Amino acid sequence: MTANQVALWYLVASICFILALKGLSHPSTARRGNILGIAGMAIAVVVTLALVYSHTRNVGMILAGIAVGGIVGAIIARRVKMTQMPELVAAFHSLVGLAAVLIAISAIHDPAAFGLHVPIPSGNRLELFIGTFIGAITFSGSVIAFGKLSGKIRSAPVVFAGQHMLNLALAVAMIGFGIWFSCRPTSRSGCRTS
Amino acid sequence: MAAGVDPIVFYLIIFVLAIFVGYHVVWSVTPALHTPLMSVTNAISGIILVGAMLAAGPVAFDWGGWVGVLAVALASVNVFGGFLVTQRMLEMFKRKEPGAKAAGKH
Repeated sequence: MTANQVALWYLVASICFILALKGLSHPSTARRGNILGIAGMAIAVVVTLALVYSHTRNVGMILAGIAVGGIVGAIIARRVKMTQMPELVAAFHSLVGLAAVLIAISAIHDPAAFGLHVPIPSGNRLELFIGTFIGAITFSGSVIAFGKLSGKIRSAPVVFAGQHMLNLALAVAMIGFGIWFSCRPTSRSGCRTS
Repeated sequence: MAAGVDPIVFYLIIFVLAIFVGYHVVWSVTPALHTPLMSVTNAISGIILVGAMLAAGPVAFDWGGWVGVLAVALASVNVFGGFLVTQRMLEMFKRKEPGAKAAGKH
């Protein structure tokens, strides 16, 4: 499968996702919307599986991961009570954030698996930083949201002296590390876009 | 794509257009559908599974591959669980549908 074919199939999947969201906006089309979402996801997964298979043949562990995760997800989805739905969605969402961080770690370890140049260009490193940044915030934020929605954490806002200064310092530190990571010229990965 | 356009700029264009699409697609949502819409949006965010699959199928499978497999499993929980939970919610909605249009909110 060529890169162009893969990209066009991803376009089809993207259109399915847009139509899924559109469908979920109205009661009469909501169920069709969910099915379109499943179709888009199935297309994206099958195409990616074909892509990895054509490059490395190493799809066994991918299928094992999907099987384990899929079974766990299906069991949880069937057992949960209707009143627990919002906290369940929050819990699920934390997994996406964690997955994003893990993918970035793996990509830096083995850039070639993602089709990246081996001294990773600074533009791609910036993307990896943003992905990790957003993924980590998604993870911690969703865990807190789950705790509050399920009543395991008190819903009242947590307030303490110097909170805004601490948040500001953390934000500056994260952005600073991000710039350093994206632009630092080292022997292994120079700050060039080539 | 047009020759000379940096891929980063190209991705930025997709990102900005996607924000507009998302905004307009969900703008007119019925209040009763807020929770299912949130759920399906979460399920679709499981598309990160595609990135995880690339990490889990490298040429030489080492600890980076295991990290990828873990990411695949986590994203799969979200994909399968997310769509199934949405389906369950919408089935509940269907049963209530005769009165749901009049009520219109939770």
